[in-house]
Amino acid sequence: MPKKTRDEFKQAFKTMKKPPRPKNVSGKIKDELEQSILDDNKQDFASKIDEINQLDPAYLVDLVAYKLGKHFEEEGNKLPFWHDRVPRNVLSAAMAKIIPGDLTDPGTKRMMNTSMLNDDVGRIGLLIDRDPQGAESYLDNVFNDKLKSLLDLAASEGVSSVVIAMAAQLYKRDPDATMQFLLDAKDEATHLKTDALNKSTIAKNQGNDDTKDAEYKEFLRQTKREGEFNGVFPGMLGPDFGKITAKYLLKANTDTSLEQLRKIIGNFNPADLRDIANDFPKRFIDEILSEVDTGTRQKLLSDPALRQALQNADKNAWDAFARKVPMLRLFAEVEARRQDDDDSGDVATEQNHNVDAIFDRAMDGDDIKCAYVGTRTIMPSEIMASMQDVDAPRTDCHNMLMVMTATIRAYPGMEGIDLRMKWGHCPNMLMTKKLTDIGVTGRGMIDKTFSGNVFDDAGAATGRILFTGENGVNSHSWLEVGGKAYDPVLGISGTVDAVKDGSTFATFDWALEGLIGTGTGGWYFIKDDPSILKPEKQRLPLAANPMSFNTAYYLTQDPSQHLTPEALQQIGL
Amino acid sequence: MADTVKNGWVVRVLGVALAEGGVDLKQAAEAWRAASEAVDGQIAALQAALRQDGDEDLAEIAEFGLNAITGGYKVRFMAALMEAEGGSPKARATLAEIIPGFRQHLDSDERVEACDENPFGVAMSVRATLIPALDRLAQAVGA
Repeated sequence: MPKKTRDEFKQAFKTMKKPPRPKNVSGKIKDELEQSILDDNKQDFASKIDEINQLDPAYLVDLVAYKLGKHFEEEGNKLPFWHDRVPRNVLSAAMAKIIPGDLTDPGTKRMMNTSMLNDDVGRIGLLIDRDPQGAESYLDNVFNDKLKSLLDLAASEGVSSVVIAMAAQLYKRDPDATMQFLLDAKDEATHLKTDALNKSTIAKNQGNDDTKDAEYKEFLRQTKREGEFNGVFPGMLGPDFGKITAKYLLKANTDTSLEQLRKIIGNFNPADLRDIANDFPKRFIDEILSEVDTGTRQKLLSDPALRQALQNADKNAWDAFARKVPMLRLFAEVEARRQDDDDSGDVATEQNHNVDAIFDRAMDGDDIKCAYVGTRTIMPSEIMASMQDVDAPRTDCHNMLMVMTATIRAYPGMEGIDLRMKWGHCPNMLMTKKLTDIGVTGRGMIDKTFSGNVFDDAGAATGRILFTGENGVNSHSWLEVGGKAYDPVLGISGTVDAVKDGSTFATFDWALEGLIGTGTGGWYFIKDDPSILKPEKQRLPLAANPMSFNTAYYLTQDPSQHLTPEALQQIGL
Repeated sequence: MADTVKNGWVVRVLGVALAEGGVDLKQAAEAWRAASEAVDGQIAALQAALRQDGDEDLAEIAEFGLNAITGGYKVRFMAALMEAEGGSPKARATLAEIIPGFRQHLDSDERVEACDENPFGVAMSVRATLIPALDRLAQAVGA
């Protein structure tokens, strides 16, 4: 029998040989596939893999098996493409080609034993991919310390399958301890990553290239480690990983765990949120709801079912908390008022009554009351959910509408309200009637005792306000629900036409941008600006006000009384 | 001699009953085990030679490669064989299913060939030892 050469012998044992490209897979596709890896273009890679999979799935399996074997020992980026970015079924079939026997096979088991002894996480990863169930049984007999050290090593080397398998095994033995171990490891990686980057930057500034490079390498290693620890939770716990993690963090009840929970609690859907809160309702109220930022608090409290569940679970804790939160105080008042109303039995009617009650309370109560300012604003969530007293809060009309909208949505029984709710607005510039003639004095965000920013021909204050909006458009907005309008700025509500007519003196468009407007009823407004006004004109006596009305205007039907001849010419008069 | 005469002689002289196909499963299984152990011994010798060579690739083959030459058939095969010997008709059918693929693997796998024709001075006869034993089992279970 002719003997093989050493090379022929070795060749026979090469894990996989390059599979011949079948005729139905063009060289072009294959070249593009290789190029996508060189370009680090994951999208192109996935698309070419998909194409080849449709043309010849058996060839793709052979190709993946060959590539996995070829790039297994390499440091570069090729292995992750072939391992992580091919369809799962293709990877499994390729693994079966590389490692023919599963972990019941003594040979494969020996391979696993040797890999475990040598801390060869790359090979352990392949064996886990080859036989996940067998690997789980195998790991049943491995000590915790070994699992942890392999887990950390695999995280540093980016071998996700090992990280997840080790973590899952540890979790099976002691869920709480494992959660804490993984969260601590993640935090440690984040800390070490930042530390290494800082040290690398300092070394760079000091001209110490060796340290700079070493620290940067450490930065990359810790970045990979951090990524693996982030990814281990979905891999280990399945689709409910977020909720399970959150429940653990609330249960652990340490400063760190609660802080971690506050960071993620805003990402859950209402049903999961209720489930999380339900384990320790008082702790959830005191440590999470009371301590998160106002944006998150507003979001969480917008679920009526969560509010009700917490109230039912611990009424004392809830009531103490609710007294400190503006939107909850408002809801309590509205609910008290609505309890006295007869139920009409019609959802839309009930919702309209709710909106009426919310608007009235917002205007007349001091829960989410906010005064007007044209320029400086605080966020809607601050108005609705801040637990600190905000001194004289002010905001503009759009933010106040956002507050109204969010409050209405969050009130119980308002499902589907968005279909009947919209914002109305004045498309150009709006001049109000005399403020004291609009609705009830003292109601609305605008101080109706203000003498206004509009003056008559003689220079006397008219009590009107000109809203110029966004350089002449969209100057004023209100809320419309089920055909009824609510204007929190001016404090009026009614039919849409009634609200418009009740507040509008005239609307304007620019005749000369930024300076002169021409409006309905033959009216003009003229900005108090020396560049267009006759020289003898005195500055208008605009009253100091906290609402940022800092520009005064003449209101006239005869612009020639005020304008220079050049300005008149500019507007065609 | 006609088959019936042969079978009668076997029963009378050797004291064992032959299976329907004319080959006794127990005997075929024993023959297989002997063949398998012989091959295991050869593989162990080849492993030692490869490790002693000092070549990293050969050490890798010794550690992980040689285990694969039975192509993932051996464990399933051995499990089915054991149960079939215990009288399980299902295992007997399983064995009949496995054997053709196993034989095909031994006959065509280039690693098996490379072992049999290895350049390291270790006498190997994987095919010559296992295939006849496998054929005998095939006859016994009607594969």
